[in-house]
Amino acid sequence: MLDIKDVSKSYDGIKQACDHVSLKIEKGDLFGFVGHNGAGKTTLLKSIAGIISFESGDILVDGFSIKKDPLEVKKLIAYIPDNPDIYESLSGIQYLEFIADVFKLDSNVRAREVDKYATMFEILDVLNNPISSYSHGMKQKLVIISALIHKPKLLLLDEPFVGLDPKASFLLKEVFQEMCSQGVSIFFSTHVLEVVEKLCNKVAIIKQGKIIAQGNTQEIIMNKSLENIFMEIASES
Amino acid sequence: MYRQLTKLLLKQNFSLKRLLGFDFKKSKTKAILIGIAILYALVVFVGAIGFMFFNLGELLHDIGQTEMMLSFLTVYSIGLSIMIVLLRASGYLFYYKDYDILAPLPIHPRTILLSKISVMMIMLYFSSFLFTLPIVFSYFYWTGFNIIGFIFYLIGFIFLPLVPVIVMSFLSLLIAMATAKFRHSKLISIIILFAATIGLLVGSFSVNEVDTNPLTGQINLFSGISNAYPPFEWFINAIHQQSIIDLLLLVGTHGIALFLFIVLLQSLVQKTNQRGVRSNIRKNNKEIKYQEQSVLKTLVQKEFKKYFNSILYAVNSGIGPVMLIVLSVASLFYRSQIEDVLAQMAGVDMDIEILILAFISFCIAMTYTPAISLSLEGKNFWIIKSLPIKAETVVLSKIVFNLILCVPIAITSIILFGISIGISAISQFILIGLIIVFAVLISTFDAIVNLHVPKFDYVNEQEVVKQSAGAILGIFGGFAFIAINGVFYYFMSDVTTFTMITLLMIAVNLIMLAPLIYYVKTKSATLFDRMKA
Repeated sequence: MLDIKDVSKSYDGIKQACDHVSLKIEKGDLFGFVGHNGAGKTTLLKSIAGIISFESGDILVDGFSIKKDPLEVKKLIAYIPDNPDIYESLSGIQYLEFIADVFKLDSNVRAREVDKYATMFEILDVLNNPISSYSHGMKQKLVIISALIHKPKLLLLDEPFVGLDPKASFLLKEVFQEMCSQGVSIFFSTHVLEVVEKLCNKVAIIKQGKIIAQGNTQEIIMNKSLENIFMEIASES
Repeated sequence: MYRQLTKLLLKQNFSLKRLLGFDFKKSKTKAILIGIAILYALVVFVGAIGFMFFNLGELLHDIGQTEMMLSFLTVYSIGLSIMIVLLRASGYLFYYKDYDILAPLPIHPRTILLSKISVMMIMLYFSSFLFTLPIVFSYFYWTGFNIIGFIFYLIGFIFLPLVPVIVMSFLSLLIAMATAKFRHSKLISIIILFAATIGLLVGSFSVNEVDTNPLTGQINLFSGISNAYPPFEWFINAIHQQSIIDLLLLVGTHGIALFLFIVLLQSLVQKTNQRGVRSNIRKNNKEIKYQEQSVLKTLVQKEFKKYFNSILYAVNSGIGPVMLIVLSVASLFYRSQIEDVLAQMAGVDMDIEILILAFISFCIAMTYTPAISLSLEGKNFWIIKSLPIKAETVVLSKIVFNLILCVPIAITSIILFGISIGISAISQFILIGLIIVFAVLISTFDAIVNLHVPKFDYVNEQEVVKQSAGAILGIFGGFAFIAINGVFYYFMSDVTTFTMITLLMIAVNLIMLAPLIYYVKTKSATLFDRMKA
């Protein structure tokens, strides 16, 4: 589903934010992506989503290249950033309608999906209110709903659990598992290693722009905790 | 601490990188080109105003009333200060965005307040100085330069706006507090500010005097204002008669007013920032009705929401259509005077049809939303970039929004002007054609400007709407297109009829438009790709 081939990206031409990164994510994978602050997680996620360009390598989503066919790729994915900066001049429902229009969802589908997820995340009754009146968590929920309603084949999330209340975090994990069982691939970055350990079938660790470990979660951690593995690998020079 | 904080806030608000939207050390060619464009804008602006004031200075010199120039200086300087403070004081003092950052720091609230006031005043002095520089030059040219008068001017210039600034700061707070109680608070603020701006515009153009220099009609009005408000008189006497007593009166009274303002404001500013602006948002249980629409339509709709949700954006880029509708409606009731008003605005005698055309074109050039709307995506730009929307569709939506904003009003105004001064139906029809082509040309040009000089990294929208390279290039680029049309008209006016010239101008504008449309279609995606979200 997602094939990252030898991707390199530098912001200043000196330091590599992503250094020859290669990763493969299969259909139905729930892939956790961990690393220090500034290791290159957000850069890679933004590169996959076509938000930033990269110098070398390529990224293929379902066979489409983000460099050559960005629109085809974007039709298949949904991206959720680490900070839910969304149009504050719109109301929640106007934002969801905007996304639904972009993905050409018919009225029945959008009504059903919005109702399902807005009820689940308990923001149905505030959808008519302006986004500017939402709390950080409510905005985060709205972005998550906007990503789910058009049923993407690949879901990219940057620190999705930050700002969510415990119930919403639990529900999001449930949604992740349900989506993966339906063949959707999920690639998300997080600092919560416990979540990766319990939830993800695959994991990758990035350090200074380089992937230093990747594979099946159980094979990577073996009998240890992911926290121990992460600390061991991260402390190696 | 005051010095460090003020320096930091100034850097945050006015550094070259912030103003230009990019690091000029890294993009030298871009910096040179933008530098030239900004210089052009400055020359056009200062030159046009400078010419009028130089001319006025000569007239006043001949009748021995050069001190009248100082009335102009005071009224313009204060008028500008009032506008800036009315628009900005609420954001600078009472509800500042970095409150959450500054409040927890061990800095005395008075120090923060002083820094905030200083930054606002520096911005105000800079704008006011730039705007009134031609008046000062003309005054000292015609009265003869003397160092004491100039020093008194500099001191007076600093103190004169203080009382109006204090009054307007409170008014700005009152407007913010009062309008926050309404659901459409932003729209109400926009209407209030438009009304104030139109009031100032109407007041500044005399409809009684027939003269090509618009300033001569304002002499009586401005000297009346100066006489009615004592600090103006102190300021004028201090400079013109080098009266130290008047200067001391000005400095003393305004210094005390500033001191009291700071003392009174200290707790108020803390309270307003702690509370924040609480909009009266009631729970809206309106049933949700889902409606499908095209991507272009939904993007344009988003632009509308953004526009009417930002007071600065709407007031600055919407003044053109508002001026158009006000003057064209007024023309129905004041037919005989409208030609004089337009001649005053243009500064030259011309046929009424061409004056109307020039005025409408000016108003369209002032409607520059495509030059800044991409920048205004700001932190939300990731949404557009990550969605499957073609870059040219996004650009097209910005152009279409601008056209919706100005074209229907421009057409209506042509019809209204046509009725009031008796333009034939055929001429109106051709004028409408020309205005539509011109509006598309300007909007497309503006969109290209923003594609080249986007500025997503801003703290306050003012940086984009009023100070960005996109805004400056958009407005003055529009004026350059008016100038091209003006030159064409000038050379053709002796050769053929007005109707024929208008038809030829449509062709000229279409020729200029074609490569711009081609550019948008072929380059938008590449330029979008380069932008950092």
